[in-house]
Amino acid sequence: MESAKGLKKFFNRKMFTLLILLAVVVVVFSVLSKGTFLKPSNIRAIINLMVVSGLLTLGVGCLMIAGSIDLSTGAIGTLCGIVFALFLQSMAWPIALILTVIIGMAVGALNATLVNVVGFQPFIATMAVASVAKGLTNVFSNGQPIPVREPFITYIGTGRFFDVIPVSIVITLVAFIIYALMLSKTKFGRTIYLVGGNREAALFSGINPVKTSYILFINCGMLSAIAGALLSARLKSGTVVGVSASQFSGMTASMLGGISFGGGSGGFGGVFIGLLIINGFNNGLTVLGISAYWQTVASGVLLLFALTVDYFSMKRTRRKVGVAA
Amino acid sequence: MKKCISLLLAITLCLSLFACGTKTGTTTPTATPTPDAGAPAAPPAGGGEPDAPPPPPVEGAGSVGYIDDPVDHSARKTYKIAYLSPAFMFLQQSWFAAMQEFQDRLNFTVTSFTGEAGNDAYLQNIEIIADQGFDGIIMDCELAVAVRASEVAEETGLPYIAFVQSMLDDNMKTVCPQVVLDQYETGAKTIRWLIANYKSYWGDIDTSKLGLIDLGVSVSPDLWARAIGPRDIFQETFPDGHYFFDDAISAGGITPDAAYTLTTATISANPNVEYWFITGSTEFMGPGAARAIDDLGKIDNALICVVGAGANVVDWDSMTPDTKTSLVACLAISDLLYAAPAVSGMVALIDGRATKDTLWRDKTPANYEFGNDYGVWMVENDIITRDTYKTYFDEINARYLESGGH
Repeated sequence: MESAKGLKKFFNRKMFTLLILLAVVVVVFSVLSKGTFLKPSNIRAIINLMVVSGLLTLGVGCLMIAGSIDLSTGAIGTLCGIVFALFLQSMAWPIALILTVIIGMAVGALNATLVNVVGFQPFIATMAVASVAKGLTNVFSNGQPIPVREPFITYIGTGRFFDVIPVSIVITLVAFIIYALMLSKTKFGRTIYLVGGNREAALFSGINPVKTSYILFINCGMLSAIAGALLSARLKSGTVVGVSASQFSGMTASMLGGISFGGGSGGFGGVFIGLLIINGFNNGLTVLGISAYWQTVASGVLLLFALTVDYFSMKRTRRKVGVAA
Repeated sequence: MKKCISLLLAITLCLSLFACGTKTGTTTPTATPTPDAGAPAAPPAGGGEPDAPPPPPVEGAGSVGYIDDPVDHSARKTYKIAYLSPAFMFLQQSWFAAMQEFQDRLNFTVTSFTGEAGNDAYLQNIEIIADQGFDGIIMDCELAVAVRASEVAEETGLPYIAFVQSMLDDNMKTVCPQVVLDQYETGAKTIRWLIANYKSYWGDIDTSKLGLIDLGVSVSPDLWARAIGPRDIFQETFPDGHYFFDDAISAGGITPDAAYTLTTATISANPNVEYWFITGSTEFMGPGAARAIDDLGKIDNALICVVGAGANVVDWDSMTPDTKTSLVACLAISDLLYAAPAVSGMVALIDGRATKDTLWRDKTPANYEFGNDYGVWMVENDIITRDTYKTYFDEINARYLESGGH
């Protein structure tokens, strides 16, 4: 009886839906590509694309759970990738990395101040900061790529453990585990859910939502900076394009993975599967040789699907809360 | 209701997926052969051994890697070539369509791949292409990732050619054979044409009242080089003239709107300048600048000549003979002139009849600024005008698509 209940609970969970969706993606593309999709090197390519978008997703995912949003992660990451490459030309990599992360955190703190002190909507504030960061990226780089040739850094970006597992993937996976545990097992994790679920209730419970917001924006800036530095290491070059292209897929994965725009729900297990689905989906379209325009259409439909799932899931939650009340 | 919407979206997703699955490789209106995505992987090429031995050159061969290479291409298997670009916009589509024009003649299929504006995805695509059993890659690669892209391509063992954008190492030396423009010279040609022809429009003018708006793009080394030529030559020819560099990046990017905004602002801010030359690093700047000139009522006082033809030709096509325009000329590079050497060079590399060290060595300009380690095919280009453009494209088409090459 207990096991039947547990099974029923599992089937009702969002994770089950995601796993089914992932299985569908894998099966459909494997069949259509006659097995190429499942080649080890192709699977590595799929996971490789999670490195940068994964780190960005962790930052913005925490904020979304807390009921906020950061649209500047791509721009901050790109700025930090350029700054990191510039620093590496004149200083040792640990110092360059620390300074880069500090810059990312400072921009995150600026976002937090605009949202919590000035009172801007997170959407507007972070979009404005993104524009500033984008401009600064061009100012610092003069629009030109900055080569990264520091051996240890390029090893982090392009090296492989035992000649098989890319180092950068391991970094992202470890980060996922840490953040998943933080969310599910720590007091701060519960605080994030509470702030996102009901800010007033959190306040009455003695939680300081402003402090939480500051921590999360700074955390988001930090992760964006690391993502930018890591991308520079992977490309062996700081570029003005940087991590911007990964921001969209990261946010789509967050929603697909169960993090609601409304806040208060979701977890990084689902987001991880969401990232796998999105990257697998995009990779599969490429493997099939589908034109770029159709790929964009399909990705948009996938985002619409994620938003619809999010909408109905929020609606169901509200109904349940209403019934309970 | 929710079930209906969810179902509808799921069906749309599946349909779009399967619609795409009907294939492939292109969105261009040109008919696309269907690359055999699921076919067994072809053996490594270029550095490796193709399925069948390379076809024996027929008598008279002596131009390996040229479109008129008289080798019998039908005597071997059909090669699978990938065209990898950072994005797949108007220009990339046109180049891709031009490559397809040579598929039957050189016995290959070409499929497009794009990094979707992400450098990381661009690099991953190289591995995907190798997995898919392609025989070679024509790489339109941003300089920022050229070093890494060449490393990844080397790891796959596939032959590759740099296309349109230079692939250079840290010392700004070529890393593989290239099909590129002499960027500085293209910009220089546009201003030279304006200088040579302005008197036929304006007669003798006071050149202290002449200005040049040099529409450029600072974030692309190649496009930046195109803007330097006009500056140097204008300032040398008209020391008393007025030079303005307008960066498209400051107005939102490489679009006609950016050109419109910048041209309008510069002309409005400088009423002391009576006559205007306008040069641009990309074709999209021509129509935008022309629209600005039109709106400012300066058609009789401005002459535009930009690098690139496509968008300008569209503008000219839409005009009647009576329509006045300041968009008088542009530097044209037929897509076929880009595509022909790229695909024929790639076929020679896959054949094994040329290597990256030997391909087009006779074509590389002496003292090339980016080194002489690999062959460089400088793509031909010509200034065309509203009166000559049709003849130009007819001649190129006849040369490549009818008479069988140069």
